[in-house]
Amino acid sequence: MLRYLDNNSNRKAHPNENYARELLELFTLGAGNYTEQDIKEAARAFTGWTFAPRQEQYVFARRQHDYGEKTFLGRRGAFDGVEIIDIILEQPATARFVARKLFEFFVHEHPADDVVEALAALFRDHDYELRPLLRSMFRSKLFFSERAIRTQIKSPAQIVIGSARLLGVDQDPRLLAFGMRLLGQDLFAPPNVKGWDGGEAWINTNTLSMRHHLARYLVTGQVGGRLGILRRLGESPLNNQLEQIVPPEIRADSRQVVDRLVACLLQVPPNRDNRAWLIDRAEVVNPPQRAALVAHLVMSLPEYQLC
Amino acid sequence: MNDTRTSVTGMRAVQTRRQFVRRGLTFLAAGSAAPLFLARTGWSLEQRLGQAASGSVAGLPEDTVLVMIQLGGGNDGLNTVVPYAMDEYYRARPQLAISATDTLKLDDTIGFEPALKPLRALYDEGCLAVVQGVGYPNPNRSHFQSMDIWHTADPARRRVSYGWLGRYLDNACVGCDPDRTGPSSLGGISLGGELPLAMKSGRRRSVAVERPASLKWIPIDGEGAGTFARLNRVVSANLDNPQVARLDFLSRVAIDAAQSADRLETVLGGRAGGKTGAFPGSRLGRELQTISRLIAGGLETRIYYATHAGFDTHANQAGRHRQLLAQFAEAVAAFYRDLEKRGDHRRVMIVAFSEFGRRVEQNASGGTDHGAAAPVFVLGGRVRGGVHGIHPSLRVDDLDRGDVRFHTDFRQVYATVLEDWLGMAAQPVLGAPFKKLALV
Repeated sequence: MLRYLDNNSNRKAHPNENYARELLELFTLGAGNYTEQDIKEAARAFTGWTFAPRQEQYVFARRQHDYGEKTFLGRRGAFDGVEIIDIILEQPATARFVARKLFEFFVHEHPADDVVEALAALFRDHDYELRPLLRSMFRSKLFFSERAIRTQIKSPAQIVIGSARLLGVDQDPRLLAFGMRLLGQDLFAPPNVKGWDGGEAWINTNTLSMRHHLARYLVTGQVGGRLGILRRLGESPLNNQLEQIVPPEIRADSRQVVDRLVACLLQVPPNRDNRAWLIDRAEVVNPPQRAALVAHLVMSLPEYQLC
Repeated sequence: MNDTRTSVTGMRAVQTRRQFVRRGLTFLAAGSAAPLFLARTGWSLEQRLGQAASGSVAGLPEDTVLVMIQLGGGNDGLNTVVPYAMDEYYRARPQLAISATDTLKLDDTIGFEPALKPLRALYDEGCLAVVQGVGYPNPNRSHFQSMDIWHTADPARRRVSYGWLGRYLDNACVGCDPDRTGPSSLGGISLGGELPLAMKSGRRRSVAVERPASLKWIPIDGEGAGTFARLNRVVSANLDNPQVARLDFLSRVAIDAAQSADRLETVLGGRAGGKTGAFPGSRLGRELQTISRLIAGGLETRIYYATHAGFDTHANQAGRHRQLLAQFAEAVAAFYRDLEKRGDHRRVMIVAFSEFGRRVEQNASGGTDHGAAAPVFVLGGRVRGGVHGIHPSLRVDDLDRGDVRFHTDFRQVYATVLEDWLGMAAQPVLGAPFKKLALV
């Protein structure tokens, strides 16, 4: 983070605000809870926080540090970076911000204010230990509520790795990572310091189409059409466990094929309409082809995008 | 491994496929909740007005096209349009300033960074306008917030869900049915694989395209279009249920992809589509090339969005910025010349902007920090080229906390584009009147 945000260039004579700005805006207080002046002052406190490039180790460069007095969030003193962080953590807004972020990631978007408040209070009471906060969240009724179950859009990592696991895919992880990139998530290389917005932002005509192409590849080892961008996948055959999930001996019965694959891929009973339709589609092809066909159809349902 | 490879169904007649898609869509239309999108918004700007627009401007072709190019990261305006006659510029940037000798002078106050050479000819031909000092009150120096402001045209940052282009598209669609198949149901097209907030709308949905051919769902066996429509048949009756709302959203995007795939395939496969001159191999070059192909192929879309990112030059700016500007200039020049060859240059307008400029003083890392006002480029065969507005003063007392002060609100540029180019009343889209510029 120091490197990404140029803090090695943050020096007493010429402060560089990048690190301080993003720390406040994206990771602790959130926009609106501090001023531009606070950013400038915090930047001064972080001067000298740098790293030794070869060893990738944190190094404090005394001569670069601004030891002068700063005014930050109404407090005055010769703060260094650690003290700035202490002041940040004293702000109720910080606990709320982090609690809300975690809640939205694990449970659902737009939690009620009182929920955030309660979690924030718990968080502060436990000195910002994550475990009690997470435990409380994961045990809450909200976590199991209708609003939380199967309403999250799978991130590229979730859908690629999840699909690969469900199908028992055996493939070079770098190819799977390439697949995630096609879906809009280059692992460990977010587009900017804010990371990925997630949720519906994962889905547009381009990325949704790519999800379907990838599903086809994981099921059959092939890509359809002649898309250059997918050639790399198309040239890399894979193995999966479709044979075991839907053994040849049961493929004569389309209902079993459908039920097994829906149970495996969606983990819920299919709605009746879809089940009947999937069975019809399976009947049209020969038994050996049924598993791949149905698996691909199930993974092309909008339901498959949710977890 | 048993052979599950079945051949992809051969091409059916286009007519048959359209029939299937239409049939599939009637399921969706029956439960369509298009009005719900509008009802959800709380901001008056989002209400459609009865007489929004005729869609065209007297004296202009009816199908004028707007191509937005977003320079992401905060383009350093001072090193793009160089105020080589200002001492303060050189005092503030002892290492970073572009020398007067290197600058491609446009007049006796400003000039281009040398990397913009490919655009110099366009400027001399009168089709490139440099709009100076563009920004907004209380500049926001956060990338994300400032970009949102440009996208929503709302510096006050009320909770606005739709973008300015989205509102344009919705207003331009008065009385039309967004779920009807057909070319006019397509909103705008964003290249580069992401849909910008600027295009987020209630009814006329825009599509994100990276490679047009990738939008089509390919079945393992059987007929594709009908199957895909059936897969995405979602009953949108109970949108208060969060899961239903998600499924509804997903299925709509899927249908948009299918519709766009058909349309783009037709356009690019036709006689005119698909052929362009040479374009640079940069990402922006590829995006503009695709746009050129789509325009050449006769796509009715009027709004395109391309992006060129990497301008957040906090450190070691010189080489990087020059490279980005060179890519920009080469791609835009190639695009313009390509349009010109077919005579399309007189119905296309290109607007290039960034979420903010950068600070006047260089920092200690050979770079610059987030700033405020910066120039906007507007190009086109019908654009009134030249310099618009004076360069803001760089004297310390005239700066806004070390940043360039704006004198032209970016919404003035938008208002000009909306009214004088797209034929849409600007106030309903922007929420207030803004003085237009003489750009067309």
